[in-house]
Amino acid sequence: MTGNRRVPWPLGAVVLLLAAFVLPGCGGSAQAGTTVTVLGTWTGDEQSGFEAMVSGFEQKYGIHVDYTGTRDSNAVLTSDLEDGNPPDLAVLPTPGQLSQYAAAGTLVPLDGALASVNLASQYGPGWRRLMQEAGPGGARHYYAIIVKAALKSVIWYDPRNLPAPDLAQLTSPDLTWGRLMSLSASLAKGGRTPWCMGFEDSSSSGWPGTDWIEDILLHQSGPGSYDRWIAGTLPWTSAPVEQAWQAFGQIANRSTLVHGGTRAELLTNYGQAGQPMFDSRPGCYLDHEGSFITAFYAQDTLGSAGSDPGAGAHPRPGTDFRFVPFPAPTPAADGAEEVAGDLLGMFRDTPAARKLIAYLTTPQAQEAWIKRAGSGAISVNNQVPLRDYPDPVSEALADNLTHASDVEFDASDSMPQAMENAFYNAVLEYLDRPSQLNAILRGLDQVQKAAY
Amino acid sequence: MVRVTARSHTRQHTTPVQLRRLLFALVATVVVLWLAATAVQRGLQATAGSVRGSTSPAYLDAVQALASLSDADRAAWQSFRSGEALFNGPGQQYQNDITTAGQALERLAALQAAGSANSSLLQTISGQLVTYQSQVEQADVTYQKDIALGSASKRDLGFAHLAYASSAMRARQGGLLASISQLAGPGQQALSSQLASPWTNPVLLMVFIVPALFLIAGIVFAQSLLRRRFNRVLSPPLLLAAALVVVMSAWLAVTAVHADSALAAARTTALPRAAALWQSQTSAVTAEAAALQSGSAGAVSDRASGGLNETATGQADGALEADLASAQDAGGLPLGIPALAIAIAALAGLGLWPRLSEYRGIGDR
Repeated sequence: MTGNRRVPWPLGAVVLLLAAFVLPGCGGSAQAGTTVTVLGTWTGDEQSGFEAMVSGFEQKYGIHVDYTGTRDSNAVLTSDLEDGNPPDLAVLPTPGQLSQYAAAGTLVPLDGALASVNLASQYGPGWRRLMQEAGPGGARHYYAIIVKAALKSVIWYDPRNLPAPDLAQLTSPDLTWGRLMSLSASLAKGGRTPWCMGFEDSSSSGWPGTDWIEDILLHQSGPGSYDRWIAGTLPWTSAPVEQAWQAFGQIANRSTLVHGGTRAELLTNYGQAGQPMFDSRPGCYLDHEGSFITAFYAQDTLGSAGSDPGAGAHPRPGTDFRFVPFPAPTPAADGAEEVAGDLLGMFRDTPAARKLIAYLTTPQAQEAWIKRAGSGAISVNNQVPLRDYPDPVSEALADNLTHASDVEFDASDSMPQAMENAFYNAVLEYLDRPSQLNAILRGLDQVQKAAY
Repeated sequence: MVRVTARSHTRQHTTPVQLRRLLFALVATVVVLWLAATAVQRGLQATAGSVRGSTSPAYLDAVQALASLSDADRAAWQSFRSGEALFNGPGQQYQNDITTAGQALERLAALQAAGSANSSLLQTISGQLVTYQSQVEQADVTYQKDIALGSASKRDLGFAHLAYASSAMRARQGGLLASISQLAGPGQQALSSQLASPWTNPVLLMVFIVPALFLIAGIVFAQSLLRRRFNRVLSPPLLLAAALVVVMSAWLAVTAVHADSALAAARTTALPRAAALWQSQTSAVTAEAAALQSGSAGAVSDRASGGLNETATGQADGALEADLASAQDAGGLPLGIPALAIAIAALAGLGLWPRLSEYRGIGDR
């Protein structure tokens, strides 16, 4: 009986073989974890900084952050939106786009995501204003958070290379625009090229020139004119704007004042423009760049043109590069600072995306990025201790940013995209054909009429 | 008497039961052999089919897009430096390269699963390509304006815009080519890895050789039983069944070894050759574009540059495709396996059934 009930071996083999084929397909697949997709402009070291920022979030909540970084995130975001497949969160290239997406209802208000975050105690009123926009109904809501920020109203120099009298003049509390021009002329007269300049940035080339013009306009004509210009109510051919262009041209269009001359400044990448400042025989002495440039300086090399004992080392903040605030016409003029920031908005309202938004506003998240040496990242969360910054220059920049009496966002970034692009290209045109300034400004007026 | 009768009855009862069990065992082993042979054959076909249908085209499309865009950059510089841009903008070769790259990226997109990481990356690439093209258009417009304004000798800004376009393409971090390389690099690794699939390991031939040996042993045992119990020295159906088992095993082994050999050739020869050729051509046109951009002596020429050697890359791609097609070609095996299995089972039945019939009507149940 027992023998009759035994399963014949061929049948057993069939069962085993079938099991071998079938079971792997039935194996329990790992439960898919929640993912937040983020599109941003950060690549390379900046991408590493952001990934360090979100690693604590991933560990805390078990939510994966799938980040895509490209310098052309704007084109990618536009394409994603057209396809109806936007990322959960995206870094918005400009406040102008933040405003457009918010008004169109494409962006999700962050009021819910930020409900548990006490923003008023962590961010100054100027910064909170920059995070808000009018929604489709006209009511203002939080539509973005500022992941990191930059101070743009600064001029960099290498204290080791600048002649002592010029250094004293530059760092004097009484520095004005006029004295800065005198300093430039003095350096040029002594056979030294004062300014480092580079306007190349692949598809966004020209923006370093817009920063110059914006800073001059803000400090010489004040925030009122600056805001009207951004709002499209101050024409490009108006006196304040034209004077700012001319002041910029006094430096940028003079080959004796710019390292390499005008052709070089068109082709030099903004991130590499400061390298000649650190050479043993400096190619230039002053560099007008936002605070993010410290990340590029950290990659430069000292004394590459000579036999400096420190040749080959990377410039150190405080020792090899410092900054002075961009000067106003008089020492007692306004204390407005031009700033920029990386704005992160939400395109898909998911619980995981909300959690990430809330997390990124916290001091512990922001510290993860700003603590990285050479990152150039500055937090505008005033609960991030200044001592957490890796060097005195970053600490001073953060102090300026968080305690500025008035912050004005980068003007070109705040304009409609068509106006912004025209501004970039107009700067390049002006560098190529300075005599055409009037025609260029008239052209910008035409764009202004169409873009607003 | 009773004892003898009982023994005789037991013997009569045992033989048909043994024959039935033997027949069942032989048929069951045929089924196992069928399944095993089918599994091996389909595993090989699936490997070759997957490589040929998606992994290989995806990799080749990525490297073609990479090379075509690199050449588009070279062609644009060639046109601007030679003065052809005055009439043709960035030139016909630039247009051809952009079209080729666009088609390769479209095919690549069609191979990606919706929502996958590569699908997202392709959207990024699509946006970057639009940005690059708009930069070249801006360079062309500026170049034409320079000439219209009578400053043709200078043309700094037109060249500057073209340099910005090249920068957007070649930037090591976040550039267009860097993004496509994120597809091409892993694509080559995935292809190489799939070509080294365990299904190509001859050791797996044991999966069907073992049941084949069991089946032959079963047939030999059946023949032995027929000889002992029924004095049948040789059963032609069983002999033919054993021969068909050998034929089936040999056919499958030859096909598997051939497929394995073709996949190995693809992995060790055709793929490295194609990859090296695309790499060298991409490097060559990239170097030429850089020389044209910098205005190096000798680089600025009004002669038409060779650009990519499409004949050579086509041949290399064709060799890889031929290896994969050869690996995927199973001949008549997909039909041959079930046909032979049914024939073997039928012959086994034909060999044993007449003997079983002899017990009918004598109370064997």
